[in-house]
Amino acid sequence: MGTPTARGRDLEQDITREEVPGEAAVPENVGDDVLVRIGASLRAQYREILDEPVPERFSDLLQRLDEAEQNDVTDALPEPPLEHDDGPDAFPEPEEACS
Amino acid sequence: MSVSPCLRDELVGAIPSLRAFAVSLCGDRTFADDLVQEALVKAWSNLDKFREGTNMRAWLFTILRNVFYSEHRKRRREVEDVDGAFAGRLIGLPAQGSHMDMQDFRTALAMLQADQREALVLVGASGFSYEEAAAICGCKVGTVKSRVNRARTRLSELLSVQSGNDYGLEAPIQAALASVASAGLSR
Repeated sequence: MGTPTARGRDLEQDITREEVPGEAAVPENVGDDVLVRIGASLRAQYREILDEPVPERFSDLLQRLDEAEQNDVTDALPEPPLEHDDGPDAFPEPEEACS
Repeated sequence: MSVSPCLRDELVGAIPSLRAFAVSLCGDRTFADDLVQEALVKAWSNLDKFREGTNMRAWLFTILRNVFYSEHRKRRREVEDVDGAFAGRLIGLPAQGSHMDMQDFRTALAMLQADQREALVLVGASGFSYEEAAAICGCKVGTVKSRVNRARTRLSELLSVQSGNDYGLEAPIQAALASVASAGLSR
């Protein structure tokens, strides 16, 4: 198993080459160097967004949430950008920390 | 309920990675930020259900993922399948000179099945363990491992990468992309 890092684990480290029940094997002709490059591209693409400044809409949102909490008035809550659908799975029970 | 500064900081600190994950889920920058905003509002109003000391990031990712699939269910009439719709959107992006390799990678990533792409991103980019990714996706650890392996095998095929060569989409893949794109546009 690879070591998880803040940037994502190295995909070549935990490769499964043999068929294990319930797991797909990576074929022999997919070299470790290929997996290294796929992993690097994946992290680079992700990093592009991580490195962007957080849009103002989020600081505005948190400010409005803070104000709503202080005023304790629910109608001060911002309008959601999407329609709400509070289905049974809308709020997961938090999992115990794994790390 | 008063939100502790510590929890608030954790929430704020998770926004960049939530945005990155949201883009990988839906492939649309604006929609991704809408999803993150919705997830933050839900998380904020449910912070009393969050146990301090447990994994806030995993909890937020789970909420975001639920928001996305909840939206997806509602939009199913408009968007027939999440995989094709995602690919169709990304293909519309212009390729930019030196970023061509990354563009090829993006396009190939968009062509993966949604469950495989999600597992690959959670484990390979977001830095979650297989166990955490399984909890976020609500599936077994072995399922996440299988999806990650399938995702990277498929990516290798799509990118036709060989040792020492640059990424490049082969002609048959380009043709497949064109047909996916036109199917996406025709909806």
